[in-house]
Amino acid sequence: MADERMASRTGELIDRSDQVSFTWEGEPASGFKGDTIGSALFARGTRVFSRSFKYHRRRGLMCCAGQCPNCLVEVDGVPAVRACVTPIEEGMSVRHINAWPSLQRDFLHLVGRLTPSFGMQVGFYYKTFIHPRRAWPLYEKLLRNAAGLGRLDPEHRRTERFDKVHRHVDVLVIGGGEAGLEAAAEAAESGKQVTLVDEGLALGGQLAWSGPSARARLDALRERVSEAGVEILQPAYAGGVYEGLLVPVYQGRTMHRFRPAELVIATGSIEQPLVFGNNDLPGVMLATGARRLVNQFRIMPGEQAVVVTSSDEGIAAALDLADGGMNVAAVADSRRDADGSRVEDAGIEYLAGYQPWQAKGSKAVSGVVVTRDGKHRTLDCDLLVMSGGSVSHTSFITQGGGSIRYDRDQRRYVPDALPPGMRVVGAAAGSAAAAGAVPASAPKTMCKQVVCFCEDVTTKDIALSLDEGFRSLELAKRYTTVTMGPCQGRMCHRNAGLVIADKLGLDADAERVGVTTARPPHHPTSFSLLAARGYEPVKRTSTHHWHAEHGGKMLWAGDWKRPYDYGDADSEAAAVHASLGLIDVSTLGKLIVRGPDAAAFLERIYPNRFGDMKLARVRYGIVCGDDGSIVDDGTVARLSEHEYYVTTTSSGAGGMEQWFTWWNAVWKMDVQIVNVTSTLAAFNLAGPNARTALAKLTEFDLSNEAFPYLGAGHATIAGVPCLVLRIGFVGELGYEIHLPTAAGEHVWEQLMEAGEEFRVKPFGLEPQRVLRLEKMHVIIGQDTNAESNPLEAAMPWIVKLDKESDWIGRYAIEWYKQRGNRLALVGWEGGNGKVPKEGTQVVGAGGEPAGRITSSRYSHRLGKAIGIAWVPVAQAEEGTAILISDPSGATIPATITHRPFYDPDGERLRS
Amino acid sequence: MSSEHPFAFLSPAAATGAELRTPMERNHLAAGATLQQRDGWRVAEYQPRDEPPAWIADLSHHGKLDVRGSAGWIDELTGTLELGRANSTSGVWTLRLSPTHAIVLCSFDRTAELAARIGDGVTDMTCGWAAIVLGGEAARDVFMRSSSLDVREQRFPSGACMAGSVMRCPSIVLNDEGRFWVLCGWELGEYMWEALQDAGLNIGIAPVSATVALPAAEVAA
Repeated sequence: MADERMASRTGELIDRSDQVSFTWEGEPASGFKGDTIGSALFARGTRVFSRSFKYHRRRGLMCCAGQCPNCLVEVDGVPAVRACVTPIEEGMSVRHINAWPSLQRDFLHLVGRLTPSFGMQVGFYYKTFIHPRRAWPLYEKLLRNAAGLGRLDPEHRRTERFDKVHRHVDVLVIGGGEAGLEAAAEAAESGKQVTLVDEGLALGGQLAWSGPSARARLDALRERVSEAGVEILQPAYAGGVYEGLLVPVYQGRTMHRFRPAELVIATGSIEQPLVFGNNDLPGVMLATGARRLVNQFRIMPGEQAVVVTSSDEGIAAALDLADGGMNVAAVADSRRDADGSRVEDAGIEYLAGYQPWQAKGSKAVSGVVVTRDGKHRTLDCDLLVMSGGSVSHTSFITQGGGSIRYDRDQRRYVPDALPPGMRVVGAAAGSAAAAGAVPASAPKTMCKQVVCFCEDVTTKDIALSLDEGFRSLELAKRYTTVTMGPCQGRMCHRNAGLVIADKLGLDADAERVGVTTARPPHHPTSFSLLAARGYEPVKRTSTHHWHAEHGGKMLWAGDWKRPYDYGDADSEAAAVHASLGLIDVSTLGKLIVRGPDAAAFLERIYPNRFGDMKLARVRYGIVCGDDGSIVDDGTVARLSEHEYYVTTTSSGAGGMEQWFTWWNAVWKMDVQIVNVTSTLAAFNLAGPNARTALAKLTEFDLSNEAFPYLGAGHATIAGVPCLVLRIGFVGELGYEIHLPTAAGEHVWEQLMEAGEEFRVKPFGLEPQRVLRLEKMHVIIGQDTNAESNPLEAAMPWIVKLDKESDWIGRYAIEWYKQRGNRLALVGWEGGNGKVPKEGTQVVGAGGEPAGRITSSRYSHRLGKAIGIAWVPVAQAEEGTAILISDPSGATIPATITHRPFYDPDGERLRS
Repeated sequence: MSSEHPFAFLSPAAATGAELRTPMERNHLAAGATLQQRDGWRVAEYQPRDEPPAWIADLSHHGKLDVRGSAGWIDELTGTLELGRANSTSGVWTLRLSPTHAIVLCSFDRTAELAARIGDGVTDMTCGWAAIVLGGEAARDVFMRSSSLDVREQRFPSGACMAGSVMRCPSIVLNDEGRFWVLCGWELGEYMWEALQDAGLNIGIAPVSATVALPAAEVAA
């Protein structure tokens, strides 16, 4: 069909010299630059744009303002795009979203036809599909296929780039109508930085289509905002208002996250539909929608129109249409006392006191029956313009923490209390002039009277919900889903309230019915926009790339990437036992604790002693919470009288820094705490040949006499100053080398080279876990939990209850000691070679739970499964036989042990 | 135990036997830069080019000192700088982050000297923080795509500094005459480098040599 437009006129949005081609349902289509998808298709004869959510009724353009769901389409694979406000772009592919097999012939339309006999009124699926229960998956599949607003293609991959920008402005104005423009200009003229957001294609709101004088006013305002330097984002829409007046604004493929000092709500008002039979037929259009088509896109929306209205907006639309050359058969005004003289002067029949009963037609509107005092009149038309007055657009006010109240004079909800920084201007703040009359209740008819266009909720559905006891708008919302759709009640909230008030015999002004909550997003918004660019900070050690380039299987370990292994965890563990291994432990937390009170500070932080430590020594320590639970562990090296070097678990660095800093502030001690986790790389060279290999790179005396187990020393290794700690998490002679990260890769390479003659192997996290388990070294957070105290966790030796100073967790641990242990953390070794999963249960002879496995591995060195478990004290004796439940249902016999499985006396560590 | 300062091992200045590397070294090589020796560091050198709308430079080899002490002492050290303000003298930036916390940025070869002059309370964080400088006309646009911190000229003018989140990483930010220094954990440097470049992709961001990021006088200082 050819593109049929009215004669060109000032203010139209289209550029007739620039044609844009796209496809609709796979067929070529075109429009002009400036057209929306909706206007371009409508100009070429398209009247049905979608099928309704539930009953699959034909739906055509209604609001032309992006408020209703009638024109939601799929554009280039993105569902739920609003055709009436989305500009056409060259080559775009537009398709319908919820019809099968086609929009014109939708078999699912039968759902609506069968409704009376099949009982598919609201809540039908709650009642219908509960038997037989096993059939629910099938029902669910059918229901999901039948309903919805399009589907996401699981194979679809993001092909476009989406962006996110953080914006700070003095003033953000939402809405580019007259009031918004005025507020923006005023703020900018006072020197403020102002951004105005408008979702329309043209600024000015109603000024854009309200005649020459309005046009002149608009031009003046546009010039003013331009000269004042107001930034205008258009078309763009605010997605909601969040805490602290955070406003996401979506513009094209960019999300602007605005944090304005002042937020001006200038969202105007929203015209409301009327409720009557078949009020959703294609050809039934809101007055402002018809006026937009005529004035902005120069499209005559029909050949003969009838206007049904309860406000002056309908009268204005009738005059506009007539002025454009359309035959307006009549204006039926439900008000009995309104002034219809202008209509009659224009040669249009004015029917005072008439309200619409039902629209006629099956596929599109062909007429309307209006009624007054029981008398019906049938009027032929192919365009039925309706206007139920308007409501203030208050969604953003309540989302931002403001409140609204019902204003009886204005017959609408208006702002009441506003949060700091928010201002409401224009019709959003209330406007008696635009209120019109609250429409009378809808006359009874057999046709569907749609209240909620998004969710296909009718007057009958709401009445049913009231009959079934859901006797308020909030409850009806939950039962019928009225106001729950994409428009979040903007098009149905008022009418739903009216229907409920009518049925319950409440105030016709809906005062006592209340309001529902309009939640963000304000319009359908793609996940791509919400996600935009990804932020996923990844921490890499200085040797990260070396690991990856040498076969390291890099995995997430907290925020870090670490090598799981280098391809053969068993041989890596074996290399450490037999000769030499090297592991990157740079992820350990590292803190400097220094100052005159450093020793006293650590005495208070840890249950064990640090004040008596000799210089150049290292001691293991655990940190407890106030409740005596173990929260972290690590080592503490005393480097000078008042300077300590503290290591923490990898995930505990930040937490321990905060913990230390917090207590330092509380105790007001003269201590400085500096987190140097980032500053230092750390490597553990371990194995019987560690000393010989390391000696090749340093002149530092590594002999056991000069540098014994638990020593700390400064050494220059491979030309780099390092701190060396003689400790061993993996159970062999070992040196933990701490050095500046910038030299990390250099030292690592030198260590590997020095160890070459000993067949050194880099080893990853997995072999480290096996090795530490052989020594029965616990991992805090894996072998312990938030309730583990050191007495039960096999570390009573670390608790110094005789310390002079108080320390964190002391009172709780004293209480635990008095109470006696209930659980015990013990080692176990398997009896049948099977390795239970970590987290599985220890069970009693009768299968009752009796503990849990926290660590479990197979040790090739020992030739058996080993692990750590929590068991009741009664079962914790050395040599006690236990049973471990296997997920398969079998049980694995095991024996409790308290001594390390490997080198129990630590001879190798001290060698 | 050595008689030298117990935490001297934090400073890479004494690592005479090593070539020091920034966290972004492989990114530089992948982008076609060459590595040049400078004060013991392998510093990326990019081909000179017309100044892009936004550029990004790796200054991780710059010296960085963390200074903590009493408010009075920090006052004395910083010349009573206000909180959130920084000043630059002879290529040395002093940033006042809190009453008791300051940061000094200097060329690497001056780190040891300045640390010694400051004395107790100083920690060499040269290897603790990666340093990335965003510059060019659109530097602020790139920053706005990276952080919710307010860096508008009127709120964060040249010589202002603050701690906050950039690309979801704890960072310290300095406005150096429209160039934004971002200091983040060394381990996050490579991520930050990649993420900032991604943020500036549509703007035309390009990596440049460190010399572009610093006025000639500062490099020489």
